[in-house]
Amino acid sequence: MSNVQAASGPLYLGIDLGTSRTSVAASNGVRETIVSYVGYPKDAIASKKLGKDVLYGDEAIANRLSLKLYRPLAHGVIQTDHEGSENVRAATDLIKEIIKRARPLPGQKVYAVIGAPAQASLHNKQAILDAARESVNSVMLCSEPFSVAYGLDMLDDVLVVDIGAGTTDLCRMHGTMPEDADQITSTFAGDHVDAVLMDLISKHCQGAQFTKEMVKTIKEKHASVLDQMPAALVKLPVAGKPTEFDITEHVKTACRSIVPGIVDGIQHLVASFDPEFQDRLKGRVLLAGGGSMIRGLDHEIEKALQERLGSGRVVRIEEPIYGGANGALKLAFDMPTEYWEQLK
Amino acid sequence: MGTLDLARFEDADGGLFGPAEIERFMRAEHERARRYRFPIVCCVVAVDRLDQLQDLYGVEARAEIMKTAVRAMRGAMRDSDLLARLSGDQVLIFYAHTGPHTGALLAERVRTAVKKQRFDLDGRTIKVAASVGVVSVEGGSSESFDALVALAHDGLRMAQKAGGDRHVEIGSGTTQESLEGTPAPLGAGGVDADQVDKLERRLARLMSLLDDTEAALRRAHAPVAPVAATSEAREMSEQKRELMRNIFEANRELRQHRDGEDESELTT
Repeated sequence: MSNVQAASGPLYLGIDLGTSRTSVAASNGVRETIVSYVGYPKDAIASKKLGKDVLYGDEAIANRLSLKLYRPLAHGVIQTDHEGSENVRAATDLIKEIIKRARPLPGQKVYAVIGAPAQASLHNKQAILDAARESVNSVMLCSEPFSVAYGLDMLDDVLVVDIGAGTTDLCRMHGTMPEDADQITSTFAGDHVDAVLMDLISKHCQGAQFTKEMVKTIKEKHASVLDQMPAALVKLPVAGKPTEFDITEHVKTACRSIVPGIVDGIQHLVASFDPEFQDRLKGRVLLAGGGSMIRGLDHEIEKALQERLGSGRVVRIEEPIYGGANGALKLAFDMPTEYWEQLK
Repeated sequence: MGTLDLARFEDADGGLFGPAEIERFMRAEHERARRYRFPIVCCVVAVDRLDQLQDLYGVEARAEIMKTAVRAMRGAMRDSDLLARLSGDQVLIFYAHTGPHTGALLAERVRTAVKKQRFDLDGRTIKVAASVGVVSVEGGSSESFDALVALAHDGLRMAQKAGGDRHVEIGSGTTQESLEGTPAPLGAGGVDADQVDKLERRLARLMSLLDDTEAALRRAHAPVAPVAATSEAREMSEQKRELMRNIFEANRELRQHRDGEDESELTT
């Protein structure tokens, strides 16, 4: 019976290895996401206190004072320059953990498709492959925005804008495999918003003490580009005393700072497309990734497109966090078995 | 009363009748279907990944999700349909005078109704999905009530194994065939089979029209799913085959490049 075959068959995984979050969607129905942090106890005391050799995600952040904490990805790829080998180890452990959370059965084959930034270098792609090989039987990489489009079955005349933490990947789909000219990667993404917001808070909130993580949390709670956005009132310590600041305008300014860069990218991809299909392409812009959850961003980009290109329609996908992983899973499942076998 | 354990039925969430009565109604309706030869459909529904949600948000959240999900299911049913909660937070739904086509549509309606619910848990809005095992039998079938429930459970397990958020139809005694898309003929062997068939199809068309917009949206935005392990699911267009080949080639080149590097390092 088919259900018996399904249970003993391979487990297909779609993995979105992100600078901020790593998500997996598995063919057994499991979907998990973890914050892309990996921590190792600093010493024997920390190790005894924590009772674990490696901590991941929120747990790692919560115990960061006892840990050597790594965020192994930057701009969507494994950091290989600063603390290179440690980051590679952390990335390998992160991939191992996300695969473990997909709950493969003992002895079950695992085939994974991992989304990588559209314009990741050869070296970066190989680093991701090497990190994944330890945990899976066979692995393939594909461009992140492509996997989003594939997951939605929108392969013709669609422009995907995948806004992550490290990078924003833009990719136009025209029924074939996107080439280099079809893809743009920029750094106008979540980390850019954090940096601008940190700068604005330092300038305008006298004496406020904060960390990058605190600013990231504030952004995730209040992010909006709406003219009439709810007030963003936050408490930050000033000389140890929690003090309330109204940072509504700063949040809005920081979030809007990525719009021109994204619109530039869209304009470039539309302008260099077949003129007969340009109208259709700019009418089918899909927003994906965690950054697309900024309130009002779809309308803001749409407005900018109408000003610059005369028209444009932007739609946010239903599941921004899992869009990439879902698409990668669909790809993994559709991939013929012989291809998986050959890449073992 | 057969082999179905009465204790398996729990409180039917504020229903007028107790668990034992509901089971009795279902059995009686099933007997009537056999005697008067009308088609019936039996569904077992479960909210996907409920245990994980409980781990994340606690037992109370689980109870709240089930309560809301059952209310949504009731809203998606006809007044004449019967619903009972089983242990393990599964729900049994019994549709009398219902053929396989309508049964599948009703199961989809129940699944969609659950999916539309939103829950505020720990300050986060989450949504859930449901899996449904559907078994339909023709009028006059000799299948026992307990066997029907067991088959519906099989369907539910298949739906869950295929990733959830779907229904799997099983025609009684023809599990495999139904999975491959050949449901049992409508009203075959029953009284007024042609009329039942016509009414079924008319109802199906009307319901399809109503759900058309929603289905289009679902196709466009569906969390792309863990796909069912059927030959149908493996079918793909030439365009996709070409894409698969290209991705494979790109990955093979990547690997060959890496292997080349390794070899040159060894040589050095």
